[in-house]
Amino acid sequence: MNEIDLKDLFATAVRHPEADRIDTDAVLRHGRRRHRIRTGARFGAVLAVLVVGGSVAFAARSDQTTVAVSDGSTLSVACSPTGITVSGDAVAATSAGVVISVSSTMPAGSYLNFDWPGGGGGDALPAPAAKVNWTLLAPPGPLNLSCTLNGDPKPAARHTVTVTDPDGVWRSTTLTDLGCANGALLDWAGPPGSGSSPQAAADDLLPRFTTIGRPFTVARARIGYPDASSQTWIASRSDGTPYLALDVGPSDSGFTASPNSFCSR
Amino acid sequence: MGRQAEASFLDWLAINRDGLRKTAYLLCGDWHLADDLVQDALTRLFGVWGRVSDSGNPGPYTRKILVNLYLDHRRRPSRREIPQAQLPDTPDAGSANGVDGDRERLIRALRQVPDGQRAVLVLRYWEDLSIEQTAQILRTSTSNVRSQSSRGLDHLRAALEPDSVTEEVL
Repeated sequence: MNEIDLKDLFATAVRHPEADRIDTDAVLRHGRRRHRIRTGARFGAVLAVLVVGGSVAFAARSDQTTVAVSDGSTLSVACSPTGITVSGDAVAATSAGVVISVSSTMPAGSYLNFDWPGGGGGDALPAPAAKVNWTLLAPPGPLNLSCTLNGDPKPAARHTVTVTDPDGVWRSTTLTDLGCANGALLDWAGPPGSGSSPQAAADDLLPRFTTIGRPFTVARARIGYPDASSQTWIASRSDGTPYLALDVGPSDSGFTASPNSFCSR
Repeated sequence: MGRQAEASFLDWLAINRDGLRKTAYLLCGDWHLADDLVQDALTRLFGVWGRVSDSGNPGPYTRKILVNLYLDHRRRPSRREIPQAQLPDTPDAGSANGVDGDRERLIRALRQVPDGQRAVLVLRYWEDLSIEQTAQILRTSTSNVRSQSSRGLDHLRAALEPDSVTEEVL
């Protein structure tokens, strides 16, 4: 399954559709009837929306978010059935990223979600019962945190903190700046490359991509936090054009390299 | 509903019909049910066509109807299908390798992904919708889309493992 993204697999699944059984005449006939009924019911629907909206607004006031003071470099985040507890409204980034100390008393299957606006990044990880430190690659700016169990977080389970960068460690170059954010998400397709060094892991992965050509080069990109455990590398063709962005990071046996996205081709 | 509205609906349908069928099939894994879902979605769409077509882009609204019809269908116990050992559209034994083999394997794997997560995967990676657009269609938060997407990919990845045990959730 090398060099195939999920969309290609979906395309394979629908390649031979069965005969179309949709009855267009029935669509038009029943659609016209629905239109007549809807027009008559519109006033009732407006009243229903007002009643439901009032109920939701009342429910949203019923919980509280607890906010204390952070020591600056590590933010404590706790998920509980009643909401999220965060130790401050701001946290200073380190050269490896944003360190948060996470714990949870929510049932198994709960998640702590984190994302940041604008950059399109973020993830959701199982909320740990025992306290553990996570280092997030969130850029300076707002960082949204929320605790969920099978669906949307309650208002009390959301909190937004501000990531500050007092030491100026963040490097704001993005994959888009390098022409490597075309939307093809590849990290799930196939096992990562592995090796005793980042370079070796990349060298193990790249030969699976047949269209890169030979020879190719691979080099670390200056993106994000300089000491982050996972780093972005760019593989380029022999003429120097970027081909593929890789995520390279440590593993139990050395390093792994996973494809992130293709560059402009 | 005037003739002009009907004509513009049919024009739109001619372009989008195949795409809607394929999306519905990826959601449910059965072409008969996919056509039922699309027909129901189109009926609802045509009922509000004047207002929706004025927006200039009926696509997202149509997908919203389609996905919610599918999820609603799955929530009704009386409509839930009985788990099957064999797919209804399993290809010939001779085509177990190559494209048909890949197709069968993917559909089988997709069936092992829970409904909501499968809907997120189809909207994001087949329909190319953003996290925000997916959240809007599913009437949920972007963080929930992220978590459902992450879990869905985990399920799909595990289901695509060569030695994974097939346990269909349909």
